[in-house]
Amino acid sequence: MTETIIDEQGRTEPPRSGGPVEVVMGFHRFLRETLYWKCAGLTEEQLRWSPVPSGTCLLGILKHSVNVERWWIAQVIGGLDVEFDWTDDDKDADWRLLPEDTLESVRAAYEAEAQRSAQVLAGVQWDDAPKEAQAAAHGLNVGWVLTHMVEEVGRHCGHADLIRELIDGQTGE
Amino acid sequence: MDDLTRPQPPRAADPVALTYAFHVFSRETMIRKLEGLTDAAQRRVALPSGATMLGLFKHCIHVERLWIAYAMGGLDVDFPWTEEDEEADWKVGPDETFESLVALAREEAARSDAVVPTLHWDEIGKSPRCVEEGLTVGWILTHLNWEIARHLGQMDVMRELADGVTGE
Repeated sequence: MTETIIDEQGRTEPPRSGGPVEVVMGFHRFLRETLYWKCAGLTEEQLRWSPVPSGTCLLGILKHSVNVERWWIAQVIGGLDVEFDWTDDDKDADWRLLPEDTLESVRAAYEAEAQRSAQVLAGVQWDDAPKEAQAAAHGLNVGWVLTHMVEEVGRHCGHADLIRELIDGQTGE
Repeated sequence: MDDLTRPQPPRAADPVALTYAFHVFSRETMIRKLEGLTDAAQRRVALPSGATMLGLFKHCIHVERLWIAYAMGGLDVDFPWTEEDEEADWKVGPDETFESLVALAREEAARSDAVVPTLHWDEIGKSPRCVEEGLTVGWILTHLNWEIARHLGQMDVMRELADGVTGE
């Protein structure tokens, strides 16, 4: 099953068989590319528009998701010393958009994160312990971290679905 | 929404058990997202597509049935959708309530609980589509995990639009 299939929205379909790390990361890529699709063809103003009191917007979801991946893969699994957009004073700063944030800049950050993730995960197995001491002490394995991440980003795709629908009526899985 | 009564996924488990545990977490969270709303709010059309919170919940119960009981378990089960109405699982009749759908979800959960321990990550599913496309249990469970999580994310926004309540 090495054949790569790209769907109508430009997303790479996850492998239909394979080891759990490979399959789960295939789905994670699919979800990342789903967020790109949900953000495509909109103005900067629409990307920053929110229908809800919490202020959630499409570009904010994308920026947060970069931090989510960095947290779980680079920091927790890889034990790397990395920086995040949130701070001690503002734990939700990764949701907040700076004037210079654009779809292009956030996508570039996401793609760079995906490359780092691939390096971290090379040779890593499902049952391995994360390198971050705290996560390892909690007894989490790599499989838990990756499965949780797919659940989390999948849920954010659901947020993006409805915001997009409320912007211009576009729906679709 | 911050409560510890939801079944938390085990910290380390084999991929079949762990992926299913995350699905269960999303299913139980969805039920909590519907609690505390009036029947009218649960049935209110909040979106151009016509989706309602109760309809989305009903759809998710049948998505679980499709992938676990039917596709992986090979069981003979019924679905609301037909060739004439492919989206019948989103439609909630006047005789259906949040309580009756929770009962339906519990029945489906019991059936899923019986099927999942018999499965292995690398085996091909039993439905014709799985066999034809070579879809493994690993693919199906991971797909189910994100699909229900995604619908839960849609429910998050519908709930926030309904009364401003948020939470993981």
